[in-house]
Amino acid sequence: MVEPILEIQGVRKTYPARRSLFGRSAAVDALKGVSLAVTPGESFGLVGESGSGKTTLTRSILRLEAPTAGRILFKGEDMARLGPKALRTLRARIQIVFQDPYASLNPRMTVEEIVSEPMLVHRDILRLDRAGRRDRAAELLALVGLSTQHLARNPHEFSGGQRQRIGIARALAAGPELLLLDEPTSALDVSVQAQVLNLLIDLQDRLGLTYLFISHDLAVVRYLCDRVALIHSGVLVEEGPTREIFDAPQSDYARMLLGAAPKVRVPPATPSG
Amino acid sequence: MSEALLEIRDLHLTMSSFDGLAHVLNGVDLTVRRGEVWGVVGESGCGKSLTGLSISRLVPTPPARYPQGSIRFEGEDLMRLAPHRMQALRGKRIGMIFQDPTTNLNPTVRIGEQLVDVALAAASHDPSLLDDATPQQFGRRRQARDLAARLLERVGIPDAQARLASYPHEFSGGMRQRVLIAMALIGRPDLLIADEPTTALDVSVQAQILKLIQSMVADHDIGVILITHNLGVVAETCTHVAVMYAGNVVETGPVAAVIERPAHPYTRALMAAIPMRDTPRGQLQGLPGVVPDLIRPPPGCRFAPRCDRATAECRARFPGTGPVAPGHAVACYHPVRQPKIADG
Repeated sequence: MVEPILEIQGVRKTYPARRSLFGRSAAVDALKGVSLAVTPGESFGLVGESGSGKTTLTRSILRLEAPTAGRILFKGEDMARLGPKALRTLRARIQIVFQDPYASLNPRMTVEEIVSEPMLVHRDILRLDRAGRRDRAAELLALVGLSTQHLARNPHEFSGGQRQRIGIARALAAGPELLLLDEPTSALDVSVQAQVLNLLIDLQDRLGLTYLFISHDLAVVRYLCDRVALIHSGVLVEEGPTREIFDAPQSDYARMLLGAAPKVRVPPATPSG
Repeated sequence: MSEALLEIRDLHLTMSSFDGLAHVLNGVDLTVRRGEVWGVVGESGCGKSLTGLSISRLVPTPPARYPQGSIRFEGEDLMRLAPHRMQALRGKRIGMIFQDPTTNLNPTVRIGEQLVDVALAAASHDPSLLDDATPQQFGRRRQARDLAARLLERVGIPDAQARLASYPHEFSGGMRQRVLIAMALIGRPDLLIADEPTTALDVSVQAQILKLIQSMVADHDIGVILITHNLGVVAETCTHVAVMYAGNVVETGPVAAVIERPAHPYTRALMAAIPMRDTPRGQLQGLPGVVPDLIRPPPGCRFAPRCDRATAECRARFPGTGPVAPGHAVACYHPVRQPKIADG
């Protein structure tokens, strides 16, 4: 068995009860002891509905949120034990692509600035001078199917699909090993979604990346992911190879979710239900 | 065959912008009968939402202009209707639901009051709406409140009477969308226009909302226009489908016919882009290119620049709409005639 690149061990996250002007809110158990392991080079799908805890888990992996209990290991290293400097080094190896390409790119920055920013943040690792950053930015754009002529433009000049390509180029800039893909295609049309999914597959094949793909779109998860975990109310309800989960779901929740997802197929002559 | 509830003929819509005049709708034809659920699909910017908004006359003019075309609702041309008559139709006989249930409810007003307001407004056009509710002596407001509670119950909100006192933030996204559906149904509309009603919702909630819409059709024999970009939703919910591209309806027909045998290259491309059960990794077909600039649309068929079947003829003149099978029409010089494509 290969050592996992990412290991989540019994992670719990409780947001404490709060009192405010509007009254009292109860404590929320967002994650109730989640464990999973992602092996290098695979695409791991994390599927859950809103409120399931998938965002809390993503934020915990990025260490934007400290788990209440449990450990998150990146290549065997406990992220909670890292000092600020070591944590910054580690963050270059874990990058994220956000859901909404309209909200996640600064409209006042050029594409070159957007894609170069992680190289500046992680300059002590990458050690690129101005010219080096420029070359790398051009290289990254080519990698995601854009060209050098796009470097000086602003985000508003791009379509949603092109913007998401820029977001992917930015995520790749620091040379990560693990990419968190947080619903990267849910804001796109199907035609564009297909291109972005194929780009992700192509990049994985070429760069040997590991993907943690967070989504509620089961069709996309089935297309892209090798393994899947279903999360519901902060609990991992089912986990396994994609094909097994889709063909023979074990839990009631998985069956419900698969049954509810609309499929492109011809409806029966008599309406059911 | 029953008389059409809604008949859109050759509808053109232009929008003036800083860059010039955009030809947003380019001769849209659509006929909806009672009992039919029409799915309107296409990429963003194809004119789906503006078609829906045009029916309720909610597109501000200017910047919009309707150079030609008609929208007949039970024979009456909505394009020529006086604003106050349109106001009476809207929300009463034509109900609308929009995509985002959060922004369409007033966060500072209780759910019940928002529903009562709509009920009273609808009742001012048709007092009979409140009749079968509560004995007259309780007053119209009380009657409207009872009607609101009954509708909330109908859309599946438990303990409806008590929930009338809730504020929108106390409801989940799915429940808020149900409130909006209840609101749209208060006036007992004959036509329901649902613009991406489930896009912001989880699949399990989506399934409930779609089932609810279907049951409305079954119970009240209304007509529905369901605007969506999700062909899966269309396949499961709709009886008919209209595929739009850059302001044109390029293919229409019964859902089974269009999805089993898509004839327009654009419909086929849209379907090929959906990941299916056996799509091998990396083999998904994207659609190259983007929706054309509507200020300077390509001459002829607007899909021609992205179409691998396009010929000189396509680039010269827009193809008229013609049948490929009974009820199944396509606007294409070179429609695809092939056996059905694989199941998902």
